[in-house]
Amino acid sequence: MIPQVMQKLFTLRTLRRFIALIFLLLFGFAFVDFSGTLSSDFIQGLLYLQFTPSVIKFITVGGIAASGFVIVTLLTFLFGRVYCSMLCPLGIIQDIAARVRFKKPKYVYLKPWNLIRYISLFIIVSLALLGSLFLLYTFDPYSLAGRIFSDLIRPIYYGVNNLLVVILGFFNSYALHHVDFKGMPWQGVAITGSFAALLLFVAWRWGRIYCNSICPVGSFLSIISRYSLFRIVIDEKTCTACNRCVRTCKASCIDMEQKTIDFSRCVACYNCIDSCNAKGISYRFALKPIKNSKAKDVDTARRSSLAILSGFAIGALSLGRINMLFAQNSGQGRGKGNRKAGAVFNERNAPITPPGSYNQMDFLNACTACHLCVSVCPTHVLQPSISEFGFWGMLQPHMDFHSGFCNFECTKCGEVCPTGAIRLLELETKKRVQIGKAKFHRANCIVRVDRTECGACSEHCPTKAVKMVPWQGLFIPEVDEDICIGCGACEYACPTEPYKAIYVNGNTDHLVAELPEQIDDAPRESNIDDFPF
Amino acid sequence: MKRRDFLKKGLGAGVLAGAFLKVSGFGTLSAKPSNPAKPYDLVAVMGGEPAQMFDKAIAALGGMAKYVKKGQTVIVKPNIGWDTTEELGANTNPKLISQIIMHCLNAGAKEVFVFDNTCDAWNRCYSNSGIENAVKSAGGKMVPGNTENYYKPVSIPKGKRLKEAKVHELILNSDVFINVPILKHHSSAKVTICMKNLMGIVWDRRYWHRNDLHQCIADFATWRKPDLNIVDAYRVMTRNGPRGVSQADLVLKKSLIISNDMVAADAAAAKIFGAEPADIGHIRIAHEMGVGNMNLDELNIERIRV
Repeated sequence: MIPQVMQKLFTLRTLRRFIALIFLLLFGFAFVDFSGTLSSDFIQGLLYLQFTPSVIKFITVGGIAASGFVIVTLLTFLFGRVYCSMLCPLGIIQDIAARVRFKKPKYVYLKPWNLIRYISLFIIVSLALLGSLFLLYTFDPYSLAGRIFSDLIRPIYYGVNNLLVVILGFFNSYALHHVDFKGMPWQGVAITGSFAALLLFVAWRWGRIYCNSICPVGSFLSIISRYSLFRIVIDEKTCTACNRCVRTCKASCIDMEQKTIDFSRCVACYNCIDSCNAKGISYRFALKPIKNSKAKDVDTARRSSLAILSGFAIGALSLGRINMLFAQNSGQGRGKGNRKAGAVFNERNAPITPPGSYNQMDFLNACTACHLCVSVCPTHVLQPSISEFGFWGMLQPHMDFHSGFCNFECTKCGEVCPTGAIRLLELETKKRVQIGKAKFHRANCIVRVDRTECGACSEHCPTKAVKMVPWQGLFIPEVDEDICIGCGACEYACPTEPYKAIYVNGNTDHLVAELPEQIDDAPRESNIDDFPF
Repeated sequence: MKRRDFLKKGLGAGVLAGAFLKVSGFGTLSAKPSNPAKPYDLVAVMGGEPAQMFDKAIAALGGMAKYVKKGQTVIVKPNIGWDTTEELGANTNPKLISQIIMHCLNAGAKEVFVFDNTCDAWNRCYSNSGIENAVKSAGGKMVPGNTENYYKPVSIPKGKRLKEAKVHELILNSDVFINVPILKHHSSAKVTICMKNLMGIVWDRRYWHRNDLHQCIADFATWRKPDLNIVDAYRVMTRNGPRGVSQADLVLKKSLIISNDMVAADAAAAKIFGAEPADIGHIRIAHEMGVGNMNLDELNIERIRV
């Protein structure tokens, strides 16, 4: 016989908590780390079961690597919404938020908000099919959790690291290094911050309301979990109607009057099972779905589920081909400061998307703005957009050449992107993808304005598309657009203020740059055989 | 003498002299021979591998113990500006760095630090250049220089355009400063050698670009002389610098220059590059400002062929 204490320890609830905690720690670390501790493959594996990115990757890229959502759907059909409690980072965050209090929360039974959740799901999916993922990525739990870690917790993590650097500095140790949290627009932090604050308050006060009202993944899985094979049921014979389970149910789905559980809303946290002293509630194989007492609810749910499933099917075929109705193609370079007389404003004809996104429309149609690429980018060139893609693309990342430039030898964003918005390119391919073209404004250039040598742009150019050519006794930049890849090194390095003398115009469709001339894989032999002095 | 004979003889002598000069090497013939009795101002080595050439050069200067005393801390500043491999010649040769560190430690150095304020992402530059590994295996310490708070303000009293700069704290705190640039073509400064390499110990480089680059490079050279300058001229990037596009930009010159006069080392390296020192703005200005001597024939130079 297992002692009672041990029995208490090895319950479904402790298993759920253990998995959830480990998962959230790894997930959070992937989104705040700046040293590349976790390999890209590990991160891909970690995010394999994330529902929304997996669905989008299935549509954009396809293949086994994008089959995670099928597994989650199957798991839900077998065991209920285990995803919501163990694998959904936002769900775990909410559970943690609900625990920050002195005494245990007391939940009550609530009627399902089927109209709200299925209409929200319908609107979110419809808008996604019409060409804007705005609502989907705003409410998608994976992406919102990613933004919480990347935009809000990452600066705190950097701050703690920098504090440690200062402390280690007293001992003359350089074991850790300082990191700057740079380039993140304050609006991005403010938007994510207010969403997070609202969500955490709701979770703290009422439990998993979000998951059963707005969350598109929760609503979709609820359609499946109605028919789950294993489910939590109340045993009417042993149940004493003490209401203990109702008080622990953060999904508010246990109806003690009818002695039924709305399993479509159950997030499989198993708190109710642990709370019961009379063995009146259990998790078991129950093939026949328990009839919801209200026929009207069932009808709504069926109709919605049909609509949504067919929506997904149509979406799988057509998403990516449908024109963007909402996202705009144009944006502007954000200049800093006031306009100087004679200086030319950097008017971009299009914002810049990372190499591997092929074109702006494909990118915006597949990116859920989880900001994982923003976190892992070694140069911090990837930043959440505010107005660059227009309102309906807000927070989807763009290349901000004021905070960095695209490192020539790097494919990190493509390695980690879980949705296929940024696809992994071979390094040699990536080095030739032209995401934009450099544009030179002589009117702003130091060489013309101050009549001195500069050449910072040409210095940083990895393909030497920017060359210094003779000009009035000095050297001035000249751009060869054919071999320019639009990495933004020139724009980043350009020292002019407030407007750059050289900046990158985005290519809405990425092109392939020509190879620079005279490429060889061996150095030339020296023609001198003695000291020239 | 008939006019024709005069021409014949003159032409013959000319050809003969030319042939002689060609065989013996014009440079060496015209150069002033070294004087071993006096300490060398500059040592140039040619024809060997980086580490081997450094061994010969430092021995000719009297060994590392002349520069590094027991218990001192040393800062070695290579060029690690770019996220490229050793073969592309954009960063200082890692084998040279590790050899220098070993000499320092053998001379009794307490610690040897290495850093650069890079252009590409710093940790990728450190690792992909091969320098991080070389430093660690030689017993040195790789130090970050990626954010502003490592840099402390200094004033440059002799500077004309550059009056102050923020310099990495390790340059200020270490006992010995060894500057190890790689000789390269440079789109802004024409060449980058010792003085230009010091742009990697300061924070705000854009200011230099905005305020007459050549003058700023020379101004900063008046601030502090490195105790030793070692120029890596093994793989020399002769075009498309400072980053380079492919190995086609490189010429295998297999040379090394060592001196405690930055201007002299830059002048000699510029010659190896194929440029006249006086044509390089910052070398000429630094010479005029008295930072060092770019007239190589006034110096006691030891030339070593390997």
